Amino acid sequence: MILTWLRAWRLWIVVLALSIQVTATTLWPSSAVSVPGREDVQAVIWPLSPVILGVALPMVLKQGYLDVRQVAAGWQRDRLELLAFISLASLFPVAAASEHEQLVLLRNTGLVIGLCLLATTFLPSAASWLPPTLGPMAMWLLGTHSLSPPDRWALLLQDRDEIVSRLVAGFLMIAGGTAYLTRRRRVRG
Amino acid sequence: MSGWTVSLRRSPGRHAAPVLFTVLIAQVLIRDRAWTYEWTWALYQLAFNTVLLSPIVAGLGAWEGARLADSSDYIGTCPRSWRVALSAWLGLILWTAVVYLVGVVVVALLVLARGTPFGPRLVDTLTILTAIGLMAAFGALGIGLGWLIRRRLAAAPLAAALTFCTTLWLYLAGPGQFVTVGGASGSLAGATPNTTIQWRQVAVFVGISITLLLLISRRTSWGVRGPVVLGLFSTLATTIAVVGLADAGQAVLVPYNEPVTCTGVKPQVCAVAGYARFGARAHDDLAPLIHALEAAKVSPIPLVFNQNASPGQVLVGPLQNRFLTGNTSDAALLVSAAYVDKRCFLQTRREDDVALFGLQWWLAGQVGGDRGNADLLPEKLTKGTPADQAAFIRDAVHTLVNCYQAP
Repeated sequence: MILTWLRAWRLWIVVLALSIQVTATTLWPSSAVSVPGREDVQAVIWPLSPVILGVALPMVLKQGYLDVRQVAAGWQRDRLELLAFISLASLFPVAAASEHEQLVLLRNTGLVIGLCLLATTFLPSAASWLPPTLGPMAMWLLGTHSLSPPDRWALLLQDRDEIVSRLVAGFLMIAGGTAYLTRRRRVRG
Repeated sequence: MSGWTVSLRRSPGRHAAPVLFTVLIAQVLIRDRAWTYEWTWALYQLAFNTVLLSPIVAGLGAWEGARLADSSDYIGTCPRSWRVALSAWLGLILWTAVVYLVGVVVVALLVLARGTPFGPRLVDTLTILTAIGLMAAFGALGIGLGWLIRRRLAAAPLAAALTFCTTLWLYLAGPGQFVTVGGASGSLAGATPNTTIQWRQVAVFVGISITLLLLISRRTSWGVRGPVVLGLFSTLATTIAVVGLADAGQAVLVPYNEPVTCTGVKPQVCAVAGYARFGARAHDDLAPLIHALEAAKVSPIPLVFNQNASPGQVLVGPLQNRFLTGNTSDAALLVSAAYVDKRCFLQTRREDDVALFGLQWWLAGQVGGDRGNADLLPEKLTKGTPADQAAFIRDAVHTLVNCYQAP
């Protein structure tokens, strides 16, 4: 039953993405990535690991907007179950991380999931993959410096005590979750 | 309306053009714009944006490739079905190229607005060509990936993420010349893009694009003899181009003796076109230091400062763009840099460090600048008579000219 549900909603993609995330954060050599002029950037690679989930999520969340699911009687309950699974499953890489990383990973997971929910709800599906993919790329490439902390707008790279990024993460999760659970698109045909 | 026009109108590149343009312009306007004094630097720096734009183009290409894969049965029934993949790619790349060229115009306007004389060189055109070529190759890679994966929302973000990570990996571990088409954190006065690498990059990017499109076209052509010979020839040519680019080395920038305009005497200040108008001010900032060295009977003294010069040439001092454009506190640094060769291993031999800090401390004092910490310096310099100080400076210059170098 559960396996059928996982398959019907393509949740194996989420499971796969989270497994890759756990493997990557465990095996990632801490000095493997740097760019000329950004020597110390490797220190801020691991906070971006929830992006692996973000790359996969639009594909799964889009299932909620299929015509057949939108006309189903319990469409809101279906989406709520989907969100509950994604939220709970995404805690797995957070729990597997070291104590120092957990708060940052929790915040960033919330940021990424919220961003995906909003993008899937309000953007056409051809563009819904862009914010969770392009945003972190821009933050890492442009928001980092070799000798000073990341820019304030690079929310995913902020220190764990930074309050604004936490607030934004909370806002995105609540706004994205509300939008995804309440908004139905026009059914075609 | 022809098929080509339809491809152009319904290309994902058309809908993504505002996003691409926003990314490009945000980077140009938000980040430091010291490059506005140099045409080559400005256009080379713009090309750095391909690090972010190319993965997006790959993602869009993947979307297009998956869309083509959805219709492969219908496409396969058409005569000359290869034109479908080609027009999809062209549609994407034309929109991307338009966005990039508008970015070039914006950059050109910023450079002109700064008062830099008009003077882009042929090599700058090549920089634009390699940037568009890289995005074209990434677009073809994306189409190929989308064609294989067939699911649009899986292929697009995956293509973008994979190409982004690959780009950064190549920057880090090399061979960087396969993705480095621009980006310089400092002035390019005295340096220029390596045209050998640039031409080979163009060959590789064109080769990858054509080969991938031919491979996709072959898959669309059910029952029709695909362009096998052409495909094999293209693969071979691309392989040769890749080997050629790998063989060209990773020096994407090479030294260049750029024409300079010289101003004044003692010292003569020679700057490239974009900075020539600051020559007189730079002369006025450097002259008191040169006079002070003369008064202290130091020999030799740098009587010329040239933007093409390297540190340690002694008689010809280097010039920095920051100094020319108004950061006058660097004057003492530049004069002392004339004596310090790049090969000097500072922080190895104490007398080298004392000589350098002492010279800078003394020079800064001659023009009333911030001298900084004097803890390391001997009392002969910090509390001595002018004669003692002059003797120390003469010794310091001698020490620096004969600094410790790597064996």
